[in-house]
Amino acid sequence: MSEAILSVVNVSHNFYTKKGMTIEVLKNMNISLYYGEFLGIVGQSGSGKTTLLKIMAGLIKPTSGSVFYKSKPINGPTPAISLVFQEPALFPWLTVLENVVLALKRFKELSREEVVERARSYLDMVGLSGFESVYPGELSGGMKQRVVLARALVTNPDVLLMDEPFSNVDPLTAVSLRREIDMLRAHETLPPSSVLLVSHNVEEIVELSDRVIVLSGRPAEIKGEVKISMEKPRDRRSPLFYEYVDAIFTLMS
Amino acid sequence: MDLLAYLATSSAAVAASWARMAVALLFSILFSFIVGTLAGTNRYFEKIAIPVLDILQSIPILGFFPLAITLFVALLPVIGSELAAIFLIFTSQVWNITFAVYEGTRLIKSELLDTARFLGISWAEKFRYLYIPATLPRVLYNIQPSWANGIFFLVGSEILTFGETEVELFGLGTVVSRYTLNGDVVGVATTVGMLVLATVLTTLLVFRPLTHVAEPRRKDRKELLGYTSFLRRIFGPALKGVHLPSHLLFFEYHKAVEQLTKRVSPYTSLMRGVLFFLLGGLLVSLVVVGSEAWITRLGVLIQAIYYLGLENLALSAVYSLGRVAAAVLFSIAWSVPVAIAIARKERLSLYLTSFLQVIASIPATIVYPIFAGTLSEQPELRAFLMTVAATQYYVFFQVYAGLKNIPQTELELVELLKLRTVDRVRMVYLPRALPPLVTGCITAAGGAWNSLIVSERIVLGDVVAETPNPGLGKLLSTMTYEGNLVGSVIVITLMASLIVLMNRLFWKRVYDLVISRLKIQEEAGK
Repeated sequence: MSEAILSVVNVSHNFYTKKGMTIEVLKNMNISLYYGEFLGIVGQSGSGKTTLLKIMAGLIKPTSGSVFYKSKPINGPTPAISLVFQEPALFPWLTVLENVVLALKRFKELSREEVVERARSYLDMVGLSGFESVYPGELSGGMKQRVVLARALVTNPDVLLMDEPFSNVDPLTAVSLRREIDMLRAHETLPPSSVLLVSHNVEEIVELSDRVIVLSGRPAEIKGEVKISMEKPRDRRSPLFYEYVDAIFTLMS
Repeated sequence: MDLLAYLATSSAAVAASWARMAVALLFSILFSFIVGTLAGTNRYFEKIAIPVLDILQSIPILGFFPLAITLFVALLPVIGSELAAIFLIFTSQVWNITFAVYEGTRLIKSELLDTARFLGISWAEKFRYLYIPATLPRVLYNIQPSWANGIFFLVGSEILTFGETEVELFGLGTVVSRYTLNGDVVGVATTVGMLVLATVLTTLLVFRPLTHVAEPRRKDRKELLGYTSFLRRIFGPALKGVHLPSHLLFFEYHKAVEQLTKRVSPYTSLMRGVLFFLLGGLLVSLVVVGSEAWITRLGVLIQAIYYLGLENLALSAVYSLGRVAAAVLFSIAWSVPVAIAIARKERLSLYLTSFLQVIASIPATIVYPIFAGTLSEQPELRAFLMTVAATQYYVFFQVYAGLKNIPQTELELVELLKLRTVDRVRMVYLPRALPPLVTGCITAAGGAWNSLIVSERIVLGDVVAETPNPGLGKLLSTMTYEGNLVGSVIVITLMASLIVLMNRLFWKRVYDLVISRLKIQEEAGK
């Protein structure tokens, strides 16, 4: 197996309640995300998947253990790792274009024109050209999530972390969004090199992932791993697809 | 003097006062954005700032006199008095805006905060793209009550007195007092008329458009920019009557206060009151006594309490409490029936609320000089009327807003069931009116306490109009005019602690009781 781009090493995380109780959320996690890989992580709701993603993105410091990006420990958010939340987190008072431009604020060397040019091209890529000056409140859930995707990709990240990105989108839009992510992945020159998708929806995970890690309930531990070798785009009704789905369900229960 | 001269004087006075209030408001907004955002985002700062703000907002404006005088007038003789007046107006405008920013910041979705973090945008950009836009609507909604509060204390702010020092600044407050002293009825009437005119104009031309800014931005805004939108902008506000936004405003104001009440438990606030008392007293005696030893400083404090007399303090507190209670009860007594009677009658409620809006915009302190002379035979009644004037509108508009917002389905149900009027009031109107009534009362009681400092004793030149019975406001006013720093600090401490304690021990419990009985959540007041 090739080298890991992002690795989670012995990570455990606890929450402390006001009454002084300790709740174990993650226990002894070891996960490697390899170059060029689409990794799926599946677990029940409330199993700490979001916490795990936030730790990998550098937003939360784990109680113990560490996360390495290209063998260097992560101490905070970096533009090399992008994150897509479950809720499309857009600034409602900024236009679609301004929302995407915001991600490029940290690149001080880019001129205003370059920034706008780049933001526009990524909005075009997710099929939102013509919507630049619209405010998020006027967009549907699926379109909002596309804006979030454009914002996540505009910094050319090596790693894209996605937290149930399709769960607040109607089923039809989810299908087209998944197809677009597949297409973006097939694009050789485009970032990101590796994608990590977290979901409780097993079919979704099987449709997109090269490898699936199954998590247990609270505290979350790794129960097992399934490699998926199927051509993309995958047919959800094929018997092989269902074999994978069943294998994952068996691991989950 | 002919009418023209009256008009010139009063409009100049309004202009001067308006300018002061505008500067104070700018500082209030600036202060609120900085302190409110910090308190909302930094847990450590929040722990210190919120209790401090809580105490500061319960200090009546007279309490800031010594600070304003010593800090500004003594240090900067030329512009100092102007700055001191602006500072005093600031203390009557700032707190609700700060709490609005604080609450607004705390309600920003965590996803948005996380997004801002991992996008790596700078501190200044966070302000520009996150904190300011997220809290701006609340700030704009709070500008109008702040403005009204500023006018209320204008008379106090423009005549700065502390012991020997007395500074009088040209403005609405001083002009009205002077006319009253001279018994110039035309002068008072012109000035009050000018004040009402200025208030209505400011509401229509400044506050109305501002609240429109706060509405969510939409693309189709541009398409509206034709003749229709022009007409709508010019006539729309006037056609709708002046009453509409005030519900929101009063609501926003008490919401800030109420959110605060929720966050502090009674016992810690009790502790804080005592702590504040001790620290404040010590600090002031430190200033007063200067280089003396610690024991002497403590001695001064004890001496001052002795001078005031514990019995006197207790009795004053009881009388003041009685006055506040009377004013609040009176406000409830007329507000609830009137609000119920008119809330469902479109035309009548429009006229009455517009009328009350104009009346409410005349601050009781401005017309108080008239009361001071005419009701000199009945000092307790005079104090009562004065306190009521600062109390009743909060209660009325709050209840009225609650009744206006009864869900359509409930009203239709009442029609379907053909309920009798008595049952309608009992089953629908009263339960819907109660939560806003309680929150209105909290704000009203705060207003009543604050007004005590003028209603129990007002000084106009050589005329002193005061209640025969003791009161904390009267005591504070006496101390302030005597220049007794330690004494006034003690009275302020007692008064502020009483307000805070009343909020925690009484109002919060009443509110919780009402809410739990009715099982209506926050939305009740909306």
